[in-house]
Amino acid sequence: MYSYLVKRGLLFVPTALLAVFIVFLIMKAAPGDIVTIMVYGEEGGAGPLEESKALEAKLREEMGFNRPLVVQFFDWVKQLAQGDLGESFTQRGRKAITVIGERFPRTVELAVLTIILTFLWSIPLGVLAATKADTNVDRAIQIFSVAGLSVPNFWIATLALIFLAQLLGWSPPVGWSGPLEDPATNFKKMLIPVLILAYSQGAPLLRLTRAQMMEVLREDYVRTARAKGMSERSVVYRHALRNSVIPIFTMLAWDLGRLVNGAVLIEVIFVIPGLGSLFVQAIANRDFALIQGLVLINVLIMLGINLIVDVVYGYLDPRIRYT
Amino acid sequence: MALEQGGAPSTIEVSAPRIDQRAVTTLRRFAQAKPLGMAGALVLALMGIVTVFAPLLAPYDPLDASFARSLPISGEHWLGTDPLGRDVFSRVIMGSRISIYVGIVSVLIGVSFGAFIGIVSAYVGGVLDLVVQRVVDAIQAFPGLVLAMAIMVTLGQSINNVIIAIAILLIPGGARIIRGAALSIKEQTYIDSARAVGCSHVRIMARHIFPNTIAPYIILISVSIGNAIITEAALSFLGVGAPPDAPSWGAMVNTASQELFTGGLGLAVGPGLAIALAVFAFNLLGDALRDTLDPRLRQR
Repeated sequence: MYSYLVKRGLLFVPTALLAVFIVFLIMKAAPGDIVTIMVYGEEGGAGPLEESKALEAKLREEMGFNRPLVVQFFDWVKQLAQGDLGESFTQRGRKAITVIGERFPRTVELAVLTIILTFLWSIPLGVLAATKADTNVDRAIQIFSVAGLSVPNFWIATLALIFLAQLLGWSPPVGWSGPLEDPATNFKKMLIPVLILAYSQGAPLLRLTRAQMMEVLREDYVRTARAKGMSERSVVYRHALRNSVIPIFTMLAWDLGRLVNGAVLIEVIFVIPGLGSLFVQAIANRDFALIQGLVLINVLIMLGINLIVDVVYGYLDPRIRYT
Repeated sequence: MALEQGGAPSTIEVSAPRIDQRAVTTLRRFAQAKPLGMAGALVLALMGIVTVFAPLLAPYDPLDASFARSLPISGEHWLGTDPLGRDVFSRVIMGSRISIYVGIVSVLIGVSFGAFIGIVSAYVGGVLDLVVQRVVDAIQAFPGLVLAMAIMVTLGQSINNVIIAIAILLIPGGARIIRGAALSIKEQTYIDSARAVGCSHVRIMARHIFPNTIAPYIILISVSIGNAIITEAALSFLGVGAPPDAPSWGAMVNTASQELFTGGLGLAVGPGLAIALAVFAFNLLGDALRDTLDPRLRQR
């Protein structure tokens, strides 16, 4: 088991570096960088061209942008080995790791609340749909879940805000306040984003739960359990659900990973200063230190979640062993 | 490996038309067994007609900004006008050309390219397979929308670039799934016999492996289109997708989100409903196709 963990952990390094390198190349190919933004501004040049050119060259030299790409990348890796993600260009003087660390807990709060709510609504409904398969209850649940897959969450968010603004005359509950400093406001501001995210995250999970349960409910051991005279509730939850838990758990864990990496659209709409909205800003500003740091963290989270999922399999199903 | 050359070619000749016949039967069975899928297909056919005849169906020019701003829903402007004074209904109709075109073309390119990589990776194996799989892991590990944004910032805003960005997102999934299918096909005896009669590697991959991965290939295409449409809308919503003036549904939802108090209801509801309807129809069709083509589910 431990040698398996170490082997898997070692594979993280090349995969994560490769992911960062891919994004590094894409962003380096992008027209305009932080130097052009600093010298010419977003709208284009203001000062005399000669001066701007000289300033641009000087800044590029200072920031090391005129060296070969591979050298720039390996310098970043060397820095990383010393536990440094570099300085953010747009938030001058601040370490990328500080900026990311400041925003991380907010996204984690959004993600964890969403996952709890997703778990609470989608799995029971999926089980219900499977036990009532091909009845009207099942069809209604199916339509509700396919709608959850099809309706873009940024549209529901927009509709919700317009509804609150135009019909109820509320000011939009956007922005963010800390759960420790002001729990009531925090709850008010998180409520709608969490509800919307949980609906769109839960739809595929509900469908998976239903499909898994349909398969398991036909198994012989379920028939045996019924024949023994066990209550239907016990058959469904203790015998059937427990045997379809592995794919459901996997999807839930991946959802958590993706959410912890930042719910980009919802964070942008509700002005939540988390990792998702930071990513959007960093890409718009070509803030390489932030982009590379965020990609690295994203990839490590996803790989870490995959590893945890594999380890938990062993507990969920004792037949699974790792060597 | 000393196989006689006489028998092998005839089995290969026979196997190709049999696949075609099976496809026809599958399609016919699908139409009878999957009414919901057919409903999705019908909605899509209708949307296809709207897409093709969009300029004739739109009551006004989608770029004509000569009307009063943010008009409410009325007989003249079915969905009102936007904050620039353009007819929303006409823009929603014309927007189908962007969303559906981007959805279908990007998925075809991405999944096909992924399939190509998957088949070559599975067939060649060894170091190439290992490297390809690590690259696939790396791309799949970060959020799709963010990668698409980075690509869009690099390439610049245009419809074709949106197609490229979404296609790139789809390559890893295609490569992984088709590789899995190709790995098991590669071990079949008919591949051995094809090799024994002297087929080139390219011919084996193109004529013997690829046709046998067609079921996962079609499933992947049909279930990916809905997602691709949502991704296009999301990119345009974030302002890095379709060019600013283009009547993209996602960009229209963005306009609505910026006019929370003053925007018309038509602008808020129309484009989003169009996205939802298109994606809903593609999902219904995709589900039905998957149920029909996946042998594991077919037995039910």
